[in-house]
Amino acid sequence: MKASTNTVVEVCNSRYQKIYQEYKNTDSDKTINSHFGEFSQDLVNTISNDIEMFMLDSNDKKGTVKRMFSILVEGLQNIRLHGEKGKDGHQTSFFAIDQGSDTYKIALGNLIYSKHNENIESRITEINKMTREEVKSLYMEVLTNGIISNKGGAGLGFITMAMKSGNNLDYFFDKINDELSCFTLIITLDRKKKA
Amino acid sequence: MDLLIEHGKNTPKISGDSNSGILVIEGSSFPENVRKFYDPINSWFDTIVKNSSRVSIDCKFYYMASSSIIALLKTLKYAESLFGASNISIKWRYEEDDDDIRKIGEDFSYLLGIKFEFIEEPEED
Repeated sequence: MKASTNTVVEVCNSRYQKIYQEYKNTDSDKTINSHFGEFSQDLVNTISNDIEMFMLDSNDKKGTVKRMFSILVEGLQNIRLHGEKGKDGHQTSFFAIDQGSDTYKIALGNLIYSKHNENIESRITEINKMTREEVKSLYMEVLTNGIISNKGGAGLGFITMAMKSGNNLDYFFDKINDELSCFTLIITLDRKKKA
Repeated sequence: MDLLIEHGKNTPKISGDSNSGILVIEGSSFPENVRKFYDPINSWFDTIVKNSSRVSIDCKFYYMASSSIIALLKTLKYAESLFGASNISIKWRYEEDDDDIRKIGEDFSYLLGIKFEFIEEPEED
């Protein structure tokens, strides 16, 4: 049985609010863009372009802006392609970007089937344990065997986001019921290239 | 048959000239229905291989999503199966200092076993 729309929204919104408040409570940081609800392809394009302009105005280097663009496109397309729908037939998803003096934090949330939680968690922890070179080899392996699913995904989303961010991927699973969970991925992007 | 697909919001411009056997792709690529988007290139290869033993491919990307990277690699592999590696020449253009796009070309060159001509171009505003 699918969870009622209210429960789905409540659980996802509670995680979204926690992240939003955490970003807000850090004095030097500011949330530069956020959205809760569904994402259309047009909205993905608009958000990606707006943030690119914002970062160029904030004097971020072009390389950093391009990496952010890449993380956002991969992340938001992931939400659109893989985000499950609640009882009302709509995706409940969100994103928020926090600008700190040294890093950007990108939070992306969507519904997934709870039966996939373990599989997703193990894929992320596996990537987090890898060195940069190992992640690159995994990328080449997936590229060589490249299959594009009917949904349009290529299995490179997490790998690409990890490569572009250069940091560990953080995550939360908030279980709504046995069927659905709210999955949140947090990507940290350094504003200055690591030495 | 000539091929022309104009720039979209998240798709590159593609033009193929059947007489010269030159295919040009330029722009950013992050469509969601990526398979459908790159399919016409395969059909174009099918047509020109009847009259031409060689093909030249000229790419300039500003940004590529991971699904587009896989789709383009598949398209290039298809061209390789039709023409043979020694009959394909690939120019890979990228904006000054854009290591990410250059690296995609290097990965392709390695995986296909085809030598690419890398061309760094001044940044456009």
